[in-house]
Amino acid sequence: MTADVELIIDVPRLEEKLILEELGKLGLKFKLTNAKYTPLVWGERPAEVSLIRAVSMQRAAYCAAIREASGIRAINSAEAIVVAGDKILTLSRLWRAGIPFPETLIALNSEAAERAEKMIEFPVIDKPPIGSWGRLVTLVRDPQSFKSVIEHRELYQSQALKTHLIQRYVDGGRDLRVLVLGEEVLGVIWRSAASGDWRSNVARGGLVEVAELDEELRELALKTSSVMGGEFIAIDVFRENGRYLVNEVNGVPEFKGFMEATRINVPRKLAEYIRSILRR
Amino acid sequence: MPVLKCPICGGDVEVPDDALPGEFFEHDECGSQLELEVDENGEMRLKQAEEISEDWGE
Repeated sequence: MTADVELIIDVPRLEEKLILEELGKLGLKFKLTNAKYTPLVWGERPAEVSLIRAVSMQRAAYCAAIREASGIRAINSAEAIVVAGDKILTLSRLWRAGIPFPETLIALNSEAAERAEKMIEFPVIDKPPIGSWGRLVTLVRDPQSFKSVIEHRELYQSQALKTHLIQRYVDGGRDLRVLVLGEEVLGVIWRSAASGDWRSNVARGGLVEVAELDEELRELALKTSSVMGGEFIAIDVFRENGRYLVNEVNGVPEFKGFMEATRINVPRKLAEYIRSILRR
Repeated sequence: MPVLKCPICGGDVEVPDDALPGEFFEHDECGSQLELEVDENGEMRLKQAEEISEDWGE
């Protein structure tokens, strides 16, 4: 029998447990698929909707693509997961849509990064196009440190990790995280860096507090979500001199910190959203 | 709460009743990062957790 929802995971977190709980409370029939242990086949239809929650971007994208090809609604779509999972693809999409982000240079290898040094003003943020939780995101204050970062990144085998996004550093010690579900902006929080770090990622111990959602931010978030082709999207935004700049977009958002700050029951909202899709 | 063997140090590890296949646990006694595996017969065991990969995140 086909279930209502398939929850696709690889490494389950608190978020996935909460989602399962809320799906059950709403009486939705669900199937749990761990993509690490389950062979996937085109044409198989385990559910009407597949909620993609793998922590590996590649696994998430493949699962979504296979399910979509088989006529299942994947949340998020493979396209949204791939584009959100690669910061260069994300910024390319934002640029085309006229969505502002901090000035950024791309250097596809160490030689280009060395040449980029003459084009930038320190401090800058250096980061690879893939990855999350602040991994390999470096605040570079001077040319000597930049040389070290370039050398270290050359040691990785992965081409993606040899690639540099060199971005103007937006000072302030905090950023906004906006969560969008379908056409609804669920809310927004401030994320501040924990003591001893400059990165505000909740996975790095970043502190959270509820923030005000004004009309400009709501519109920016909805536009960004639409441009990414996402249904459940988290958008990280800087506030600088009275304007908003999009930093990153997350295609498989975590929401522990968001729930803590806003008291919004995100998994409940997700379950209700899926139920509304099933009723259409 | 099921008690499983740590594959690294051999000590006991209590796994919560609501644990899901693939979930990570840190063994307090030896500090190992472990992963819950459930076979086709529903048998549970712990193995050394998969390492964080470059594409992991949100």
